Amino acid sequence: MTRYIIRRLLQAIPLLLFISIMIFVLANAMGDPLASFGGRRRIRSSDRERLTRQLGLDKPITVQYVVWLIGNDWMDIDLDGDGVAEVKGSRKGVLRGDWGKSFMEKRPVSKLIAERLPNTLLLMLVSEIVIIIFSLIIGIYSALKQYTVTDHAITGLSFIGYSMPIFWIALMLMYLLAVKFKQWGLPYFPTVGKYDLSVGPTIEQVAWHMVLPVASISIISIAAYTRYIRSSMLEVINEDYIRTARAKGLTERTILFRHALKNASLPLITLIGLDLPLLLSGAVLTESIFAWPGMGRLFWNAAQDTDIPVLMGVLMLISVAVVVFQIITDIVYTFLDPRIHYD
Amino acid sequence: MKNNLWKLLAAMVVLTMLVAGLVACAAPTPQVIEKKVIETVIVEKEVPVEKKVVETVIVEKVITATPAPAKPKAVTMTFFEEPDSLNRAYTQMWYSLLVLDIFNPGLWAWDDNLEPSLEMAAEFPTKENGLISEDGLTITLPLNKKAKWSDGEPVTANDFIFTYEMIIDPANTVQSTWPYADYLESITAADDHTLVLKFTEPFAPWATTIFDFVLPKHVLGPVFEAEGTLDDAEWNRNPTVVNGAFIVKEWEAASHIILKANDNYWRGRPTLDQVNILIVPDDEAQMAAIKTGDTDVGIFLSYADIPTIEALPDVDVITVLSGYNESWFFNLNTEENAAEAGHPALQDVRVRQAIAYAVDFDLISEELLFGGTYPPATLWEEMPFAYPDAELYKYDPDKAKALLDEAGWVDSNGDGTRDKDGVELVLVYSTTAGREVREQTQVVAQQYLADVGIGITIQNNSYDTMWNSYGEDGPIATGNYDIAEWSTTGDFPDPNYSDWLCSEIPSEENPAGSNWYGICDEELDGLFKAQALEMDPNKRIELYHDIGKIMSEKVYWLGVWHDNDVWTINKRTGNIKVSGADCFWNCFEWDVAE
Repeated sequence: MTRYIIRRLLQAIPLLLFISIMIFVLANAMGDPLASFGGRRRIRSSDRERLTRQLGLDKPITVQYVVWLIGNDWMDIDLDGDGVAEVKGSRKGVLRGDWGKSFMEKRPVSKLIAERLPNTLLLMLVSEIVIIIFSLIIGIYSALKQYTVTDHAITGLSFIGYSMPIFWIALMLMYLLAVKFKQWGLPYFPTVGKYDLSVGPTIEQVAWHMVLPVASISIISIAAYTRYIRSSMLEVINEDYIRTARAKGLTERTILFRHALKNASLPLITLIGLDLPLLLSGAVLTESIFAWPGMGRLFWNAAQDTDIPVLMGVLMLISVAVVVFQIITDIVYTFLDPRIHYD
Repeated sequence: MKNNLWKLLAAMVVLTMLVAGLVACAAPTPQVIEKKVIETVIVEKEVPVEKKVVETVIVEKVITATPAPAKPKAVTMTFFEEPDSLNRAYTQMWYSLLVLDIFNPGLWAWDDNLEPSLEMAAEFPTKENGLISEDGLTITLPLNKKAKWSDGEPVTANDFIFTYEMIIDPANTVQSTWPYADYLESITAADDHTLVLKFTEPFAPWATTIFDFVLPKHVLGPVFEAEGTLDDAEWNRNPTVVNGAFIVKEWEAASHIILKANDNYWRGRPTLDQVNILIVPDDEAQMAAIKTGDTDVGIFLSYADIPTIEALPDVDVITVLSGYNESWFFNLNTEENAAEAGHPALQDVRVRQAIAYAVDFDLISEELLFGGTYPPATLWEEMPFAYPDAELYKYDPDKAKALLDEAGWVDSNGDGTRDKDGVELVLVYSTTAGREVREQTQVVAQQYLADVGIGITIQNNSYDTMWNSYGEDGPIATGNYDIAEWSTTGDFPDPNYSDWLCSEIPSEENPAGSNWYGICDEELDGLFKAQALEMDPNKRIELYHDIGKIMSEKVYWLGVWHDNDVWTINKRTGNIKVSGADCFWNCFEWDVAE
């Protein structure tokens, strides 16, 4: 197993290098990083020339990538535009832990990500747990009550939930549970933000402000997960070994949770394995609508401003997470299914 | 062991949640003692007397109740975008400038009547009061002696000189060095509270472009000396020492900014305790927050929202002159220019006039913008610089057809589109993709123009690429359009523009040139150059009237709608007078009902 993990990690290095080149090329093709620098007006031509030089955007894209990767503290830089390179650069490059500075905010990318990641993890992990719990309960119940009215109702609702765009769910929840509830004189949920600024970030405040965004993120995924769990449970409960377990006189509870669910959970583990790295990327629409300060908005703003260092930082973080979580998922398979071996 | 895996995984997830929760809820909750407590404490002490006696002293210690902290008197507002920096030198972003109005004023702010409201300056310079020299090259700025930084240090001329030095130092990646690097010859301190600016040539827009902020030398000077740049200064994001009515107390990225009252503000402590800014990057969410009262001030709303807001009992809607006008620009580049030449028909002023007459811009304002605005006649609408006799090309399709006939553009092949010398009169109409009202305008205008025999091909660009320079292959800068639409202003409330100068036409030598219209009208060029040098306000107004006359008659520019900003103010607040230039100029006197 150890050899397998080491092999997979070594394979990941050229893969991540290739991904970084692809992302860098695509990010540079997205637009002009200086386009937003003029505020509501266009940037002045003299400022454009100066900033292009100071941010290193006057260099060929290959040089820009090399600087991103290994830094520029070995290069002489012309800061004042007199044609004479007078100082060494200050960038160390990603390979030495320097992810660069945001073009817009002039702050280290690692710092920007560190500020947003806890908020995203809080929102997304809570949502993921809500999704898993609700989809397990509904999916198993639906499978056990196959072709009953309840099963049909759950199936219908799942399709409705899965078909709804998340921004619509979010706005409808906000409209009903905040705007309308206030109009009707009922206790209403807050519309935006992480907590009431006049009260402060108490646990109750944060939890209260999380209700609507968590509900918005969860509804669609619960609908999707429920379908997977229902179908894999249906497959498993008709297997011979479940019949054997019943013949042995085991309780339904033991059969369900120890034998059926464990085997039915392999597709669920695959889904979660694919979802977990995406938790880091946040939820762009939900975070925007509920003004939740997470990674999704960091990525979205960086994409809008063609803030290449931030785009690279966020996308590479997700790429690394995808690679790592895929390895973890493969390892978890061996625990759940003894037939799977990697050595 | 494998059976315990689920438990292990569950425990890890719960632990991660807890850690994330604790990180997010880092600040402690203040504890309030509500009951008055009388505690009796018995203290045994040794009294130093000659005769050693152990005396018991009973002390009654009264612990008064900690008063419940009153909720701060605060106004909350929502920003659609988050500021990128709180150091003015590093930002041109509109939302950053809004916050800067609150904590870092410059020499003066422009009030709601667009008059200067003095802040760090003691007097506004004019030729009449002798603070502007006769040749217009020297401006003397007496500074406000009452002005202090929030740590009690006085604001002096040295702070302004330091600010200038930081702006022009190539080690700092500031957003703009204009006009300091271009026009200032020297800046000196006659004394601690008198600043003398010497310009290389008369510079008319000085009042709106010079020192709209100032940096604290005693705070940032040591940072620059130590690090060689201000790029990484903590102050840029957390400006703890400021000179405005409020101090930045907290900025949580993408969430909020809290500003608290500055006791050392030169006018005295502001009426409010706190200003809260929520970052809400979604129109609908902002509207919901306005409806529920989660925000007191809604900013930069759409005209389409006005009817909804007007129906709300607790909210006032106001429109504020910001100098912006939604505009049509024509591609008049010729083969001689580096950029792609526009449609040859556009070189004929009669065709441009015909386009102006062919579209009912009044109806567009009435229907698409819910009557909240109107088509402007000049780029300087509602300002004294607006040419009063500028022709507003009222909808007249017959006149449009006659002008096109006169220019020789007729439908010779019967395909419904006019043509001349084998060239069809089909124009490429570009704007930013995704802004609904612009795209609706395109469709309506396409129909109007089709009615007079002008074909329109809509070819929009993403916001990210629309403004790329010629050197960056920007679609407009490289001339890939015939009519382009966006909203623009000058150095508001100063009218200065440089985009119309011949020298700004992009080329291989000048890839960053800003004259994307390819217009090089010698008379217009001369007038634009002259206004930039004219220090007499009245003469400058006359020059702008001449500019407006040419632009109107030759239809170098066409107004689609006057693009004032739409704001909402909750009625529980008081004294919020929004200015289109320095929006929060009077935040020191804002109030709110308890």
